[in-house]
Amino acid sequence: MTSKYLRMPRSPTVDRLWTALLVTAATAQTVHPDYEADTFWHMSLGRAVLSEHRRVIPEPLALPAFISPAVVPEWLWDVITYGLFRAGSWPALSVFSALLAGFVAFLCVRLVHAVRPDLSLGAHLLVTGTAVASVISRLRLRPEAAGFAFLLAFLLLSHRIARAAPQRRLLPGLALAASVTLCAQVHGTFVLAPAVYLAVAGPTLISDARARIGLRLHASILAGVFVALTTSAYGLRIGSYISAHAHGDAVRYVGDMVSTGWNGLDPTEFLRDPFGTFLLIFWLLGISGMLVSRKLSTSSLTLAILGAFLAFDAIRFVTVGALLAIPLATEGAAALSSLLPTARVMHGLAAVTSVGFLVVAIHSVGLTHGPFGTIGPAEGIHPLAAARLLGSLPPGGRILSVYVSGGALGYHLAGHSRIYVDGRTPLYFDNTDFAISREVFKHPDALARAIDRFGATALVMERDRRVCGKVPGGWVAAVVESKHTTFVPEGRAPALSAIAPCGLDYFAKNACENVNALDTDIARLEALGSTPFVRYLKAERILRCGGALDQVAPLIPSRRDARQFMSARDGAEIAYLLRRGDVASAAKVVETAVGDDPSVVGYIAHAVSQDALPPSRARALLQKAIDKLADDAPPDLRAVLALTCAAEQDADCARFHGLRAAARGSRQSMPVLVWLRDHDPTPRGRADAAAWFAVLAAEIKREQAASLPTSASSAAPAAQPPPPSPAPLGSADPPESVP
Amino acid sequence: MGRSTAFNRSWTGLLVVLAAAQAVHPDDEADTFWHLSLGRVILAERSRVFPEPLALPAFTSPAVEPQWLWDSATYLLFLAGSWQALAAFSALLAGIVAFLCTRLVGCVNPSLRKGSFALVTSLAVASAIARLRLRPEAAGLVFLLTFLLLSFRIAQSSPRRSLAPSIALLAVVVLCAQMHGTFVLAPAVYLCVLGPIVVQELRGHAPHGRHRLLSGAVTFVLLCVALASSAYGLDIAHYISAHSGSDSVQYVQEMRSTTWSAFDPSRFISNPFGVLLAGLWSIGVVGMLVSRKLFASSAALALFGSLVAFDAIRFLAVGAVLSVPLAAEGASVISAALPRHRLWPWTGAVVGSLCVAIGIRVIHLEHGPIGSIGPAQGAHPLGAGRFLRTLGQGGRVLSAYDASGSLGYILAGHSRVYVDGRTPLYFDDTDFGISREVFAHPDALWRAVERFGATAIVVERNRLVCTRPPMGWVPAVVEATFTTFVPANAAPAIRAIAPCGIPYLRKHACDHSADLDSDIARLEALGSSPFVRYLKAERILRCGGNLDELSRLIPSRREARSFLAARDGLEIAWLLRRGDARAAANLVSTAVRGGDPSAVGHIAQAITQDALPPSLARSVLEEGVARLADDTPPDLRAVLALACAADDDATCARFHGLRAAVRGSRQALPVLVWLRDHDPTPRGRADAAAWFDVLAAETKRGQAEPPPALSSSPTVSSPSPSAWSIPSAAVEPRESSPRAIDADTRQ
Repeated sequence: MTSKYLRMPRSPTVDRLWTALLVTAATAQTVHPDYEADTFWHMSLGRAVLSEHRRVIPEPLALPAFISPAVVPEWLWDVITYGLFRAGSWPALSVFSALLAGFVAFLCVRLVHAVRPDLSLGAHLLVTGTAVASVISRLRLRPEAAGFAFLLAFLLLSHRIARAAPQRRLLPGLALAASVTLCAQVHGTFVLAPAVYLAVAGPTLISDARARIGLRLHASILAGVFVALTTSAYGLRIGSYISAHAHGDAVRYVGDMVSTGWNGLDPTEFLRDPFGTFLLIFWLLGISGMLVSRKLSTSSLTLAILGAFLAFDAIRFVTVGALLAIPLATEGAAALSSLLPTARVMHGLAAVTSVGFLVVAIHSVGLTHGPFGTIGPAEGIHPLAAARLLGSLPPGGRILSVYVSGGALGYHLAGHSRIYVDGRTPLYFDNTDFAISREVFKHPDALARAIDRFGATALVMERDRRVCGKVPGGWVAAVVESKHTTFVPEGRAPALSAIAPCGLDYFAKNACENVNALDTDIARLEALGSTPFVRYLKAERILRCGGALDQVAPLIPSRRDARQFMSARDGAEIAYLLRRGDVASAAKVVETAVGDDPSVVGYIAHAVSQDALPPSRARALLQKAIDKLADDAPPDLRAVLALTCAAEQDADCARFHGLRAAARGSRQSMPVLVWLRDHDPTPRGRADAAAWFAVLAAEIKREQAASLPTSASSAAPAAQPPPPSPAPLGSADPPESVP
Repeated sequence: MGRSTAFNRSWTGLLVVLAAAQAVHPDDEADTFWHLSLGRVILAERSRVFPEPLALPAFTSPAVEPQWLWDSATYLLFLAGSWQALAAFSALLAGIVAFLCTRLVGCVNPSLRKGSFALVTSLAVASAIARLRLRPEAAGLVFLLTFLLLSFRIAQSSPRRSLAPSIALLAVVVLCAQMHGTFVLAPAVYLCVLGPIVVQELRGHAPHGRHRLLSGAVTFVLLCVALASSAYGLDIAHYISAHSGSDSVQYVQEMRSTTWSAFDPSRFISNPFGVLLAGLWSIGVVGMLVSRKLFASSAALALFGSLVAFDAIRFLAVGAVLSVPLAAEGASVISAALPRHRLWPWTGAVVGSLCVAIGIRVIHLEHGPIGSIGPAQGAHPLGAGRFLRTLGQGGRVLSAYDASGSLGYILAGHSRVYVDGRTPLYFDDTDFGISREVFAHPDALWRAVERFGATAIVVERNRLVCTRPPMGWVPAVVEATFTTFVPANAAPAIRAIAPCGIPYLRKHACDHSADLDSDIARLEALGSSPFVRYLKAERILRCGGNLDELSRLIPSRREARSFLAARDGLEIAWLLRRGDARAAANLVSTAVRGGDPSAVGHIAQAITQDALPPSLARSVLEEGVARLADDTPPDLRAVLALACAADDDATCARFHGLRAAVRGSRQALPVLVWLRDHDPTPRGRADAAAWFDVLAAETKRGQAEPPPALSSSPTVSSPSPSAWSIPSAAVEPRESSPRAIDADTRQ
């Protein structure tokens, strides 16, 4: 590059400050609750490995039917995390995770520098910022985070070998083999090392081969790397390890092992899930750079192609794809920056873009793994109360637990009771085990057979599964958590009677008819742990069944504490605020929640129909919800929106929603029909409203005469009259007055 | 190496022929019919605004028809030469579009090399093919290309010589405004082409810069004035906004916004049009990067095209046409940068031809079969139209969106129809929203019958409301896709043919074969269609009759697109009855690959009876089960597990056998026994034995009381791998298997 712009060296101070900023951002974003069930089984295996002093151990967690020994290839990670947890609990793990993330960010910067030490400031800021933003998606308490550090180390050491004089290659070569050996005890990334080395050092290797120098050393390094591969717990069976993770039935059903589709790169989803787009940006930078410079960056391109294969293989490898594309993006950015003007504003623009990318990436992590600043197991994700109850039962229990609950249960029960298929799929559990577990938790008859097959003494499953409502007779709910419910055979533990074990509502239909039973249930759950969910149950109990209303406010958990039962929590807060007459605050809660859960607008519809909110505010809220619900909007909600539209003299809106509500039989639409009949600007609109009014009025008359004239034909299995609309929000009588 | 005239002509000729040929296919668009209906009215009324001729009396607003010239032309052609004339017209338009694409590329860069020319022109034609059907839009593409050509002509000539093309451009815009909404793009196209040139000339103080600015501005103003010549007059903004920002466009398939997935290269074979557009953009962008130059006019056009393309799926072709100049310029730069080689022209031609071939294949799959003309089989309720004409005049038909077009044309005011494809042109968001409620919720349908005083309902047979018509209404006509209901006293009911759902014959149709014959005869009286032939064949196969007639009666797959699953099931059953299991297996494979995995259920019984070689049986079953994934019925899994065991594949037998066992399939018992004895791992053997015990205990319990299991009667054998004995009643009989799969899938 001959441009004057490129010849300007970057200031070391700016470099350091920028690196520090990236390291800080990467570090800070790891401080969030732990959502991963895998963390627990890693610690369980660490405990078992320390106790057995071996990497192949008798299976410590699963049901007795699973008799194969467990191979623990990530034993070093497992031992470290278990040791840290014993030493400093969640804070220690959090610090460890943060340190790893910071280290990865630092290595990203080093890699960019290693590829192009002369990169202009703007290009450096852009590439390093995007690299760190792209890796953030997987920098959590997982061995994968350590895997990234190793991958970056492979890249850096390979670059060092390729650039060094032949006589200076020995040391980095040894370091590479050592890092591969270490990685083979921590994470599967080690299998990439030979490919990375060959891609980076390939051009040097070819030129050395032509010059007949240093070939022996190259061969030794490569041999060292290959030998290092065999040091994993799988030994020489490394092929089966790779194929189990790449093919098979199971990988189609494990969220982050599913192939990355084209939509994984969708830039229109950038604000919600930007990581595919970052990868796309890297590729575009690299390809554009090659086109502009009319040069092929062979080594970087090979790495990027390897990365692309991996990125499309599984969603979790998108980050690996991005890391492997860093050299190509760096070279591309260098070439493109030679075309751009040398103004300072370009540096600023690059910095702002990078910071923007980081913010979007961190925001995305916050959405899925937040709230930031909190550590420990994520609230409601792991069945911790279930583990406490099951731990109090006699040992030797056999728990049919769902995939995501197995990790936490296994760790806390520590062999006291055994669990079913967990996140060690396809590492320990194979395609058949996992497929059977899917059948078991999907079909009630399969669940009954599995209880028989495994001699189960407890069931732990998500409350929103169909099988939750269809457990075999003789089983009762013993623990209800925000997400999971635990069933045991009747008599093994006292049953919960007033709290609903399954479905959307946490309270049984007639819970308030036996308040004592409800209080006993809540007290029993509280004894297993005083969680935000239990506080919510207490608040809901007061709101529904009576009690000191003043106590509700401190009981309702904050939204960040209630991610797993947000809709129910929001409903409780809205009901509380409305009870206090604070409609404006209730509307604010609805406004916050409606984007994710349009059904919350139902809580406030009654208040809206009673003019408790200004029409424009009410309309905005209802409109937002109905836009989300689209054709699934309940007719009565449409009718309420039509009323607010009529109040604002918007005939188009009133007609659109009012007539649709009328067609669905909502009696709430009748005032709107009357208004439209008198005020619609077109004769057709007025006639239409009058005709629909007549249809509804006739229907009411028929109902009043208690006759059922409209029914299905002989073709229909059962004759049904048009159903009346659900409980009217306001008056059901057709009003004469204009709303 | 420039292009020879002979090359230009032969390549252009090839593209024109291909584009024209692909336009010759059956008409599955309901819109064609309402265009014909409106053409008829316009010729009678001699006005572009007239009383609504088709819709129910409740729709009292007059109809405004901006595409009146297209409507009149197609109606006159139809009168003169029926579907043949319309097909010829459609082919002619498609050929003109292909021709103009090559002209445009030649105009943008006359010195483009052979390979680049072949590639860019074929990408353009392949992209346009998506919309080259019997639609005013095809004419719109002709006009759009003309706008571009004339604008480039104006830009390339001196201001003094631009008068004639400017006048021609104005005339074309006025003509287009009578035919299709593309005319609204004309000023923007003109501005994109001329704007950068004017700016460049003014900046460079070119001698005629001011003159060009003045003439350009005048032409632009006149173009804007010409927009007002459409039937909407000055209300053109309303016309545009209704098509881009209303509620309806979210629910009309082709009006939906184009999403990122439209550009998915992994779906290139099944949906190439977004990828082709991306290809045109890529060529242009690469050209700009390599040359380090901005192709201002072409880039502006492509940018405008991308905005239009992302607005709605149907505008992808418009986006592609607007990107052709950018691709032409880019290809020119790329070809100059590449080393000269005599293979490049061939490469360009081969890649281009492949793209066109893929585009044509997709058209064939979606709108084909190419080569047939006339209304597409089963896509229009033609039988219903004929039937409703026999009823009293003044009927009010509550017809589904896709049925109203053809019904309106056939009934010609004899009876009125409901909301049709003129949304949002005539029917507004509310009308369309209510019609969706009406055909989604039975109670809304009953209210609409009352509201509109309906005398007939025409609805797709796979809708929920089809099963819940108002009380006292009976099915009067059953077609492949649509069913017509009328009040019981209006016409005799169809009794033995099922009006709704997947199977066309009722469960006990054969118990009342006289009714069945009478039903079929009545449907045949309304038109002897492939569907009626299918009904006759199904009747013979199920209820008895002359089997020799079957081969003549079963319609071909290309004739039976709208009832393909039923037709395939029939042929498979017939082939199995004839003992030709191999041919049946081939047909199952074809059906599964075509997207109907339930077809595998038809052959499962034959497989259990060793009617197929194990490897063939296994591959057929695996194809179906791979598509059904976790929704595979357990008995089908058990049959596959048996086939795997017969192949000594313990991993496969375990995977499917144990899954079938956990779902309670008694057919899994032989596999469990085999696994107990032959699984290579101790855990596998123990697992199989344990699951066998569970099923055996269940069977024992079931002998005492009715079992809760899903599968048919248990058959336990103790097979050895060498002499594998597969139970005979492994799956349900042919008639019920696909339904069982379907029911399971719905679960």
